[in-house]
Amino acid sequence: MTTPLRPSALRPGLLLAAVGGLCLAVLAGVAFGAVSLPAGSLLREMLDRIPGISIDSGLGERQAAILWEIRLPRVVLAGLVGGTLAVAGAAYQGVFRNPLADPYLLGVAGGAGLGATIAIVVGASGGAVLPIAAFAGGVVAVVLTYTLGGIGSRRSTNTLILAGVAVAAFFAAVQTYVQQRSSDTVQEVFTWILGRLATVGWGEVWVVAPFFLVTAAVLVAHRRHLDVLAVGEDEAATLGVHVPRVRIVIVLAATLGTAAAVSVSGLIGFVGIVVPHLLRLLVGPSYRRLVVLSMVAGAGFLIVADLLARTVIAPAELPIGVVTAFVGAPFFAIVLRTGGRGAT
Amino acid sequence: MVRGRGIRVAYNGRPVLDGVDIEVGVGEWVGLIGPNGAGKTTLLRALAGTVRNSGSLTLGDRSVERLGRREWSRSVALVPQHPVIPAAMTVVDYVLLGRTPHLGYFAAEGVEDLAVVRHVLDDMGLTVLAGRRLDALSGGELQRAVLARALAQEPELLLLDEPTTSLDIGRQQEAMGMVDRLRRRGHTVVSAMHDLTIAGQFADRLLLLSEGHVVAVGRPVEVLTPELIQRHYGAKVAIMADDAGGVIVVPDRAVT
Repeated sequence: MTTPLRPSALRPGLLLAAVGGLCLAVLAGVAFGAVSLPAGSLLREMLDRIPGISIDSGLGERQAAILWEIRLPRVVLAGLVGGTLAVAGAAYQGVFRNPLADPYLLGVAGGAGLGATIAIVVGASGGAVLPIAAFAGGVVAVVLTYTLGGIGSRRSTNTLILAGVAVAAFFAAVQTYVQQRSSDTVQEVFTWILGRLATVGWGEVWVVAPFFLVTAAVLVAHRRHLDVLAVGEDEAATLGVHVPRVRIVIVLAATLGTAAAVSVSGLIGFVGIVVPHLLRLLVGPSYRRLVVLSMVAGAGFLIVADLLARTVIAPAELPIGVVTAFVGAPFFAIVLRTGGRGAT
Repeated sequence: MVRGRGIRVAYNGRPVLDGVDIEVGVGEWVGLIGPNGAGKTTLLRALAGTVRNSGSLTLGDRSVERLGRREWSRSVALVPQHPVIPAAMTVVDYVLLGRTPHLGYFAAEGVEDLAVVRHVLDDMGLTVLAGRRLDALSGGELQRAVLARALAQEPELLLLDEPTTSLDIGRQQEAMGMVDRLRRRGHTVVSAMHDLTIAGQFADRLLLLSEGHVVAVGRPVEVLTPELIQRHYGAKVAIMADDAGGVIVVPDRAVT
């Protein structure tokens, strides 16, 4: 008689499968490149770094340097950016109950693009200036969107989305104008806009990591609220949820993480939409699963995309945004065709 | 005992409810009737505490202002007329949402919450459908799922907005029978009702709203009179009483 109820939850099996996939992606990410590093040695080398364990990895000094100063920081950065974009996309889709919502919805891309363009045009694109300028531009754009869209008031979320469209268009216009005025930097601006994870050392990782941690913690803590918001604002209110407050907390967290990601990687499209939707098709619509799985799967997805970006036409590099769309779009289309009904 | 005094609600400065008094005893079923735009839905929302109203609202000795939204939702549940249905959500996940007001801000649902959900699913005959997606349910099953979510809140006061719209007559009867059963178990019920005959058959008392005012309140036979219905609905009807004290409202064809 008492068949067990099975409400959606992040069961250990699901999480293990996702983390296992991520580990494989990390291993592939550090193993392949201009110089191939044998996987067995890599594992031994990484184990060796754990305090209390000492193994001879068999990697030479140069190979170890490639691993620790070039490959691993880049893989970690790809993971952080991918995880942030995917979970921010999932959160936006939940808050706005709009399957097309992506992390750039509220103008963060346009703002960051303008900030980065200005930094490049005035010749201050070296060091930490570019990410800071992009981050500042993104935050300014989103604050403007909130102000125009009147978040916290009882106006509908559609007003906010439309305000985001207006702000994004305005910033894009200004950005194009600035770019046209100094055509010698067009190449550099475009490279940035198409997204790149070219990094040396751990600098960028330390820049995004704190933001990622805050975003991840806030969104994980609100995964149940995202499920409640699926029944709309009015009904969520009758379930005791303070909707405007919860909405602004979730949107701010997602936006902060996105702005940080954009500042170090440029605009990488598609991750924030494809990853959460693929997961919905696989594990259903509950954010109790989606939030954590989006982070893990988004990280793995971008690590693999970055691996392709730097190996397919080596020694040259493809912009990673091109890879995410080129690989992601057909894959997504196939899953949509074969996966039956959408899970929105 | 639910008591609202001088409930006033205005949207953009336009008053929708203008000083409504309502009193519902424990285990009583009060039907809200009135023409479209009379303020039935708004009164339900005010009772649910989701629209700001100037006036007082108490449940037993607790007032809505003192309790705050989450605690009020532990005692008062609202079933809207057109619930938002997240198509891919499973029945058990959906009903579990009803436990939200009982959970701490960051807390997960525990054994007790699952026990409540299990009980409610059983009660609504939904146990075998627990793993089903909402978009795979029939109209009647969906209505029961929505009711089950409200019951998972373990409310003293159950608010229903037009619970029989878009149900066929068999499912209407089923839904009303279910609400009747809940009322007998001590739930207090306030429902907005479109169908005057159903209102006259099931509710203990009716409250007739017109343009934001209460224009009549009392037993169905006292409120469902040809004069009042003519005046407030602009409809010409014949009223018949059945043997059980219920009322049947029939449109008079001579007018059309």
